[in-house]
Amino acid sequence: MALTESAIGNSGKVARQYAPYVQADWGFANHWYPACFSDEVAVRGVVGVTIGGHDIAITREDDGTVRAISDRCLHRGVKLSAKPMCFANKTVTCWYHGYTYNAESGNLDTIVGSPDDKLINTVSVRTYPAEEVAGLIFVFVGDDDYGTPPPLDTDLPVKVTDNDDTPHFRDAKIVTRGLRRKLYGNWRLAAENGLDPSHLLVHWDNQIVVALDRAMPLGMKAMKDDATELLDVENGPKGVMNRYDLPENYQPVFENPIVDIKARGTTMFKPFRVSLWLPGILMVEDWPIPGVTQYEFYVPIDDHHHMYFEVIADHASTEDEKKEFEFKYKNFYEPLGLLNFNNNDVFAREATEEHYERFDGWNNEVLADADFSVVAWRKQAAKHGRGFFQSPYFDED
Amino acid sequence: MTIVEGTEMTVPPTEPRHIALRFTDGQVREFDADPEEAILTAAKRAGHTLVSQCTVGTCGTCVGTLIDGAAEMPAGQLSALSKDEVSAGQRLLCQTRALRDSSFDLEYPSTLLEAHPPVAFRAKISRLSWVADTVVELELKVPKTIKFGFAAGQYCRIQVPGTEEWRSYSIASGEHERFRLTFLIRILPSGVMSDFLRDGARTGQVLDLEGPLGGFVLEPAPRPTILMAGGTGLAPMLSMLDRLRTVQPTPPILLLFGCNRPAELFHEDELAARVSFIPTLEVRTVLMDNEGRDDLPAGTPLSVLHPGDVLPDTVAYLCGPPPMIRAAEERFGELGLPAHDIRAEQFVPSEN
Repeated sequence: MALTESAIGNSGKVARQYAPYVQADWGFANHWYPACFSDEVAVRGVVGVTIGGHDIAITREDDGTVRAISDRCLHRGVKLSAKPMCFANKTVTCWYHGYTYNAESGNLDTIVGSPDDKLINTVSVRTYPAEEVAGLIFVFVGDDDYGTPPPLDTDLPVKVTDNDDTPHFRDAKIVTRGLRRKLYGNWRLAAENGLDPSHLLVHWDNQIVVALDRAMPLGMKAMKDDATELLDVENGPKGVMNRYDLPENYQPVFENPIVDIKARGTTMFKPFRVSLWLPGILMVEDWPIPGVTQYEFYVPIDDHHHMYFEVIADHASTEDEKKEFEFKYKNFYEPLGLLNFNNNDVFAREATEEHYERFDGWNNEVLADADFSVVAWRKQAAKHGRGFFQSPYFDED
Repeated sequence: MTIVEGTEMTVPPTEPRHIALRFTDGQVREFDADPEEAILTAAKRAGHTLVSQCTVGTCGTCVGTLIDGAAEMPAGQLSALSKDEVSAGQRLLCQTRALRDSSFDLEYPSTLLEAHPPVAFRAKISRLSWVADTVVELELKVPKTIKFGFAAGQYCRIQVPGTEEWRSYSIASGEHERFRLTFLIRILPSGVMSDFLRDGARTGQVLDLEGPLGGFVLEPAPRPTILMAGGTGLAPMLSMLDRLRTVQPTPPILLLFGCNRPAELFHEDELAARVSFIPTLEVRTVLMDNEGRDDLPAGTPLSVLHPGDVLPDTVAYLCGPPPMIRAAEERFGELGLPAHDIRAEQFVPSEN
């Protein structure tokens, strides 16, 4: 019986191969991240989010244009979003002492109770590029001096197969619904969990699986070394993909006699495809049912929390089709997919965090053959991450 | 542009001289200097803290090139510049007085002056590991309250605890790791820092530092890059690699790394790892004495440089002992690189 150097493994030598990924505790800087859903931000509304340590306020002009500025008032550092206040188009006013910022430039345009103050027009808060697509608001977050951001499409999953008609972000007919929640756990643990072919065990007793009598494998056995495909779209997004729909790549495992366990379900489903993209986006095509795509974003908040976006995407052109999608979302996708099923993933990440946070898990794991796709993702992320977020806080050492 | 020979006075000896400094990013800083005032001092008085270290004319850090006017260094002093360098217009600004209005070229961008002003701070030893028989990797944890930032290639001065001695070491970690600094330190048979690291240093100990210092930094625009390192001269190169990796598009990078003998070789695994996640990086490792490692070539970093490695727009960064730097500067010159595209950081051996 060979023992590892410590009871919890010693993977430091492997981890060196993707060192930049191990360093990305706070996430990769200089990428586009979703901040919130479009319908969360009304005209002259303010929504506050934190991405990689950057506090950002999202607001909307009268003509619908979305803007993102720093969510910290220069004056005494309170969050503008703590009590949204927009008196005039394209401005955000701090609720505390009335410092009023231009939502496009970040300039201090006026101070409500002190309009002749000498500070006016001499200082500004940082602004962030913002764009809206398919019901989500994205912001480009990173180094102040990064220069022109690359197009949003370099950070959005694209269709890389041609054997079905699953929904993708830039489709003309795309409709989306979803939810987001702040979770405990590093963003990387969340991202890796979704891609990992051997994590399916956490789902074997989920309601959606039982209700659909669906044959949910206990795991997926890779049939070749390169079963995980590297995705490197020129001038486009980067990631890795597990094509569970290709029998030459993967074979499902339905039972393990050694522990007398069998997967439930008798209905053979169309197998889904899972891909994970920078800076931390999961795309599951043909899930929860064929013809539908589930997207998940793992947006770093700090080194131990992430915002978990769960989005269901479908195609709909007519009002009837859109209503049907809404009905299915409310009564099927959200309760059974995004909540009941994904709650098992949430449980898994939160349970993983402690070891990675307190026992330097990145250098102390014992990986098995089935982790090849996680390692492929780590290497791809190490190669293509554009920079690093770091802690902005002074009160922790 | 003329360099005026001799000391003809076109300005009355008491009048201030007008000084212009031109940086590699095209920026110019202008100020007045009194006749008896060193350019460096006058610049500081005007609010421009230039790159410098010893301020007594021995280290060569503050060098600038006279491109117009007349300016002299005191005669009969030991200087870090050779006669040839002085006749080519090079001046140590800490020693130089202007005889009349003068302009100088500096070898670094003006942004270096504002980006990361040097600070004095204290940091704890968080890790000390021997990576070769003669090389220690020292990791320090910087408190978050310290406003410390640096550009890849710069160095810090570290005080040897219990002494008045300071030693300079390039930062090996990347720019984004502002709160965790790594240094690669060559351990000599005797020397105050070597003795301290060998016998006295322990995790948790607090060291006094000053930094960042130095103008050995990367060009802002990506160009084909050759990094040449002798021994612990690898340190700034690791930091530079970390920066270059995220430049879009990543330029081709060639790293030439030489050590004396197998027992002194370190970071082979670190470099192999970087090759795996930096697609445009090629590394050539070489040993002066390769007995026992005949898988590696015998020679110097320069001996594994091929003429075809140097492209017309290549920029070369060199760090190591002075003989390596001198030979490399000459060779890169022969291969057609202009002097300003050969950047060097020399090890200044300490007396003790």
